[in-house]
Amino acid sequence: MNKQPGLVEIAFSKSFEMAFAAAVHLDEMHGQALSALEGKVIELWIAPVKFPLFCLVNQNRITTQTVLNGEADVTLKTGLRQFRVLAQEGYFEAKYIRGDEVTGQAFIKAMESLEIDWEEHLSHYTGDLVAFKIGHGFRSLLERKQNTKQYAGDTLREYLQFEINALPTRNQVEHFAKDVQQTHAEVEKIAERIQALSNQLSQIKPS
Amino acid sequence: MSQNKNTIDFGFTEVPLEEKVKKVKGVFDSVAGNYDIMNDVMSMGIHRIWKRKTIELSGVRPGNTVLDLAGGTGDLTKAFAKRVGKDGKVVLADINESMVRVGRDRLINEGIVGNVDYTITNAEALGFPDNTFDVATIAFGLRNVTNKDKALEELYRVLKPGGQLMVLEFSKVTQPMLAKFYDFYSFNILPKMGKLIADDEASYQYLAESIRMHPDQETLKQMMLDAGFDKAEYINMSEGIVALHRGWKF
Repeated sequence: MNKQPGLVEIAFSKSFEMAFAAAVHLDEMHGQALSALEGKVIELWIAPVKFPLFCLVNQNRITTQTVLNGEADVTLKTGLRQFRVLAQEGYFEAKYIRGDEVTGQAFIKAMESLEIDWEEHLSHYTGDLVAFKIGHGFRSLLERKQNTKQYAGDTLREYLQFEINALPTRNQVEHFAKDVQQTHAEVEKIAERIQALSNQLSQIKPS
Repeated sequence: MSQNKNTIDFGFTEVPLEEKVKKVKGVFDSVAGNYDIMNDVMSMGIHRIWKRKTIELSGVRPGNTVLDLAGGTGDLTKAFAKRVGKDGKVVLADINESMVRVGRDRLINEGIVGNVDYTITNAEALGFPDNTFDVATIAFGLRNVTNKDKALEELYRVLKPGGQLMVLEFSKVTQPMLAKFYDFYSFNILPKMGKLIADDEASYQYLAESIRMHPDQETLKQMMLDAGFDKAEYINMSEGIVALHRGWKF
């Protein structure tokens, strides 16, 4: 059973569809770059968005939807940030997940050949609600990333310290540092003493 | 619902069974030219979101065959035609010739050609073989059908196994406060808007009345199951002003 799309999903899908339509409309080649994808369905996962966007290619046009009967021809994973990179540098990065790799490559190539001002379209068509949702998603993701990093660090530290004793505890390190300092001081004292003895020895030597 | 087997509701009035088709035809002949504008005005543009959600949930893909019954001026047909591509087919079917003409002219003007067929047909006797369509939709049309049970049976018949019927229709508002406002709007403002924009108060009075006479969410769901659908469910949109019923043939 298909999960039902909410307003955010619908707005997101519609925004992409309008962006694609505008790009094909302005394209000197009238979307010829899409001809290799005729009749194909590309499933795009665009992080941090948590639902797929299905791109249906027909007659050099792309329509989008968030639900599809059956399987897509190829599944790709990318990020919203990649669309900005695409707009600025003409380079589109998407990770192949499953399906027909040739179709995936053709889609990436087609995306790179279409001139789409993604930022403009996303901000213009998605409106404040989606912009907020996307921003919120980004912030949550970063926050979760930070928390995960912290948690993973703590877990690893505890594991290394207490489970396999591969790492010293803070107390052990402090003790060790103190020991090193003490040893250093004693070595210096010994060095001074050796120097003093050495001086005395040179004075005792028969002249 | 009508109490007498020889009569049927036409809005809040009872008419002989055979009269309803003619009367509904009269209404839609009258509103066809302004139908799209009126839809936008009446729903404040929200009907586009209801329809988009229907399209999204249909899950159609290239190569699919889709029936847009009571397709009117072709909103859904246009979207489906873009999705099914040249290997697929969309049939815009409506009992009203005026609506089909408006829909056909509009789609041709927008360059939607080649994979759309147009037909004038009665929902109670669909002129298609069994197991023809992957998806069938009837948007804002079922309440105007005289024998809804028969129409649902026909829709079940023409669906392929695995196919899905989507009924988008006005329904029962679930929020009491909204229901009061909605009633006021429907019976006081809507007909006046009809007069102002389409110079046709009576037709819009009928539209408001026919919405109230249409089966509520649970009743329609049961009707779909009784018609043979193996699974049926519904989604309320805008607090039940509209409901999308979905039925599957397995």
